[in-house]
Amino acid sequence: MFNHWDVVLDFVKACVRMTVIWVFSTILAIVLDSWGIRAENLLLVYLVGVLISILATGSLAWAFCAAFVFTFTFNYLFTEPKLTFHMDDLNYVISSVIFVAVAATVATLVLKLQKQMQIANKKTEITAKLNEIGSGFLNLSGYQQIKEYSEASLAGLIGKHVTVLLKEDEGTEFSNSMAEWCYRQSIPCGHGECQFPDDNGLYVPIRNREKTYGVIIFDCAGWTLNQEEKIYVDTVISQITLVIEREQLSREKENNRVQVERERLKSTLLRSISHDLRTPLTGISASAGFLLDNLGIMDDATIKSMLQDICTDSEWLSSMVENLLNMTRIQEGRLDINKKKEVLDDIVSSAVRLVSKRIGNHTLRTHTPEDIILFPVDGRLFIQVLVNLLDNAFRHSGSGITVTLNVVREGDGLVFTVSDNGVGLSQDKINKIFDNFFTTAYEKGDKQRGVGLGLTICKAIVEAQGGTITAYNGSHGGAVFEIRMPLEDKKHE
Amino acid sequence: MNETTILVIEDDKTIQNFMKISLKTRGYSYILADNGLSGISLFYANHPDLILLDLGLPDIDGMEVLKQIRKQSNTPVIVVSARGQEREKINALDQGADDYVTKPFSAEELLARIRVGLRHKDSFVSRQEQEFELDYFRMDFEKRKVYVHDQEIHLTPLEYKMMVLLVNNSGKVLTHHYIQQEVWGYDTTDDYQSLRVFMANIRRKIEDNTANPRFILTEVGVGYRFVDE
Repeated sequence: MFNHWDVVLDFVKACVRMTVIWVFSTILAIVLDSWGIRAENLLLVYLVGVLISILATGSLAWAFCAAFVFTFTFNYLFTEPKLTFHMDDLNYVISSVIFVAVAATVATLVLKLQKQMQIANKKTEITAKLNEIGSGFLNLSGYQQIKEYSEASLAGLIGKHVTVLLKEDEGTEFSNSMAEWCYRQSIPCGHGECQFPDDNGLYVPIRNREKTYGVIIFDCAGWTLNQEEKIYVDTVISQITLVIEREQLSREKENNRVQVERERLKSTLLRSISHDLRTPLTGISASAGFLLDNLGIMDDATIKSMLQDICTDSEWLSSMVENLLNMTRIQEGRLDINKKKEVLDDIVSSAVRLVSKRIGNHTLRTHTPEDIILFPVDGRLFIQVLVNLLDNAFRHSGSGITVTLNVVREGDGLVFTVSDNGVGLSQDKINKIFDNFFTTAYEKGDKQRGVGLGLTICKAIVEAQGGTITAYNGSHGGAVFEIRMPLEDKKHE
Repeated sequence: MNETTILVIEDDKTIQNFMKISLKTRGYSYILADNGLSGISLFYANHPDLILLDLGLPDIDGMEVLKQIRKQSNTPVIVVSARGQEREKINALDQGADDYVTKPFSAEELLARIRVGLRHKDSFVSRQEQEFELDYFRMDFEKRKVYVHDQEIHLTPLEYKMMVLLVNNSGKVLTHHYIQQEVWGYDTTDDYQSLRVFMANIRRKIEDNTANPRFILTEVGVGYRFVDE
């Protein structure tokens, strides 16, 4: 409908312009004629009129139309016999013929020039667009950005809807089977191509010589890409390819970095574990072997003390294995958090019961709120956290100390503090105390054992459940570990 | 003498040996089975008083052994589970196992569980005492009253019902599922939240220190146990 009205409107406009030019030319000619100017000059006035009308309408048909109308007007008004279409003088006939020929030639030239100018303009415009698209590609990172930018720029270039599909993972398939076919075969298909020519979409692969990265889908319903547009599209595709290659390289680099980091971590872990496992194991096997060999000749007190050592060492080993199991679960990135609403009392009492065997000559005090508080937590893992913290306090703070486990409710969260009146933490320790494998043993040599796994695990567990853990020295000396846990389950964003 | 016989179904030689020695020192007689099938046949042949059953067996699933035994009798079964078998453990308890120990466990722990298991077997018919007393806790079943430090404690009817259940099964672990079924009569889908809150309330009434309870112990992820000594 729009098209139709546009044509009619253009026609009316051209008519009006022509009429205006004709009226002015004729008035000028009549004025000149009344001044006694010769008729040949009047014909030149009309020639100018024709040229103006060519410029005004930009169409050859109108130019010819104007030439004829003007010739006949001239004939009618200014040649003898006036006010008739007869022409007595042969000169006028020749002049009129030349007039028409000149008008036609000039019109053709002007139109050609106009067309070339239009082409040149369009080319400049597209070059500018391509340039802009190209520079825009430089600032992209991530497949999503590349996809969105490519879609927007291609759509801007050809004025049609364009979908860009990028293959991030070789294992997955595009939901669009045509796109998948195009990706697999790495040749264009769909609208106007050899394969599936009846489809409304045109599928063009994004590829370089070795690899296909994705597919561009052009919506070709009632429209097709012309030769020129294909060239532009190819230019953009090659730019997309470059950007994707760059993206993949940077990803590979990042992966390699992570891999190296992980390997480093693993070897550190293995080193510290084998060291920490060997120490108690040596003790156990040596004591047991000695007992076996010398059973008859030893006094009961010695036997008992050796058995005591075996018990302590194996208990320690088993708690360490528990930590290690949790650690591997965390490091593989699939810490199976199984959050349930647990009663605070249950958690605290279970942790206290687990450490009660290891209290030794220390004292443990607990303070919990009067109210019954339910909070979302993975019970087993959180108990492990409290056990690790209490254990640490017993082990690293000296002898005969008092450890306090205090739980208070603060706003919409719970605050757990494990504090002791022991030696406290040195400032440089506080900063790295939650780092992997940090342990005081390494600073003092071999005397104290313990992979610094305990606190790392605590941090990982607490943070995985939406809490925070911090360490500082209390106002009366002694170390304080503080855990803040939310009372409400915040859903993952 | 009527000697107590315990059937040990366990494939790990070291643990089997450890159980054997622990049982021998306490004067129990024992039968050893290396796998599930021989365990079942030894059960039929010897009618043991109690069974120690490892859940991870080389031939058939420990759960299958439990089902076979339960078809035949109410002999107490104590399940031996490894870490990471939490689900199986709870499942076994709900399927009729009487108790569990988790590896690694001490001889002390194992023998305590066995004592509880045997006592429940003996008292299975005779248990209808009028009173239960432990430390500073006392319960009068006839008058339906509970005393702590000789002070009468007020319990709601549901709380009392729960206490009776726990006390009658003292020493034994009761799963959330079982308590829910016994006290309320139906199962819930809310992770037994109301049950946990009920238990916390009871604890506040009878325990001196809820952070280090004397009577009701929480078995994380499993249920509760009323201590028996």
